[in-house]
Amino acid sequence: MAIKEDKNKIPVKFRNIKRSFMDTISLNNDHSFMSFPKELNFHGKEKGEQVVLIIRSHWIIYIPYLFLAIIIFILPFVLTSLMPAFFSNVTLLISLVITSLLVSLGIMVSSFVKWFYTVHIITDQRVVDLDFTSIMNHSMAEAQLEKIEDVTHKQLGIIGSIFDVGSVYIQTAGAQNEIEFLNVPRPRDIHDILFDLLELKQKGEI
Amino acid sequence: MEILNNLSGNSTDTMNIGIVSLLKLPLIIILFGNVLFAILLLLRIRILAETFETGDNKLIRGLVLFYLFTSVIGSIIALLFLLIG
Repeated sequence: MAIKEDKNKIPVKFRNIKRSFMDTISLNNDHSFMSFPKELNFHGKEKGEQVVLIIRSHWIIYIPYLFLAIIIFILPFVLTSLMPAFFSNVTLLISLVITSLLVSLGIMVSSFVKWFYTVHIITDQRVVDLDFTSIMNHSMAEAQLEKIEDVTHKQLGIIGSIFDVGSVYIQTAGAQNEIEFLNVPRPRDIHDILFDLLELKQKGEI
Repeated sequence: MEILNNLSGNSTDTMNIGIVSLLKLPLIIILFGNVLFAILLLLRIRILAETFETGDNKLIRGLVLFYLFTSVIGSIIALLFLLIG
């Protein structure tokens, strides 16, 4: 029954494809690595274009932001214990606590928004890279599958080995910049998926 | 001598008040900055929600609205405490 349900999640276009990526793509799906998502649309998506995979950064990358938020939150209490005479003014201390609480909340919310909107999309026609770089700007880059010349991936040291995190670099033809999927989970699988999709596109099977 | 003692006592108090007042100014700037940050974040996700549409966009919008609301209310309370103190 479970197999039948999984099969139904796969779009008709991909059901008869016998490739290695079809086995790995449906394993361990979560919000950072989601295959064949439903109810998803992006700017410039063509009618009939099938989203194969959406990838976000691994959560481990956001641990420093969480630590920063915790440090800022506990800072007033640390200062009070270090300099009790200076913070004898209760109203000032309350203001400081509220401010630190709001700043740490801001760090956590903005980190979550950054994680959610830094998204890499692989479709049956192209690769789209949406980057939430800062509060003031974001960037979007895309490349047709036919324009992809080379795909490489790198793993990030010890953290990369423990959590299977790495970066995927997609070299495209022409003067376009390289598309980068930074700090993503399962970089080897993404590499494999991209190469298989490229091959299928070249053979006209998708 | 009494006059000198009084003078020294007053100067210490003035210095304390000066430091407390000096600390209030960056706090006020941070509070205003935080509210501005929340507004900018809300504007940014409005654009991003049109660029990348999923069912979870409403959740993100709700979260940022909560953050904006908390920032405004929290900043008003903190400012009131700063003005009282």
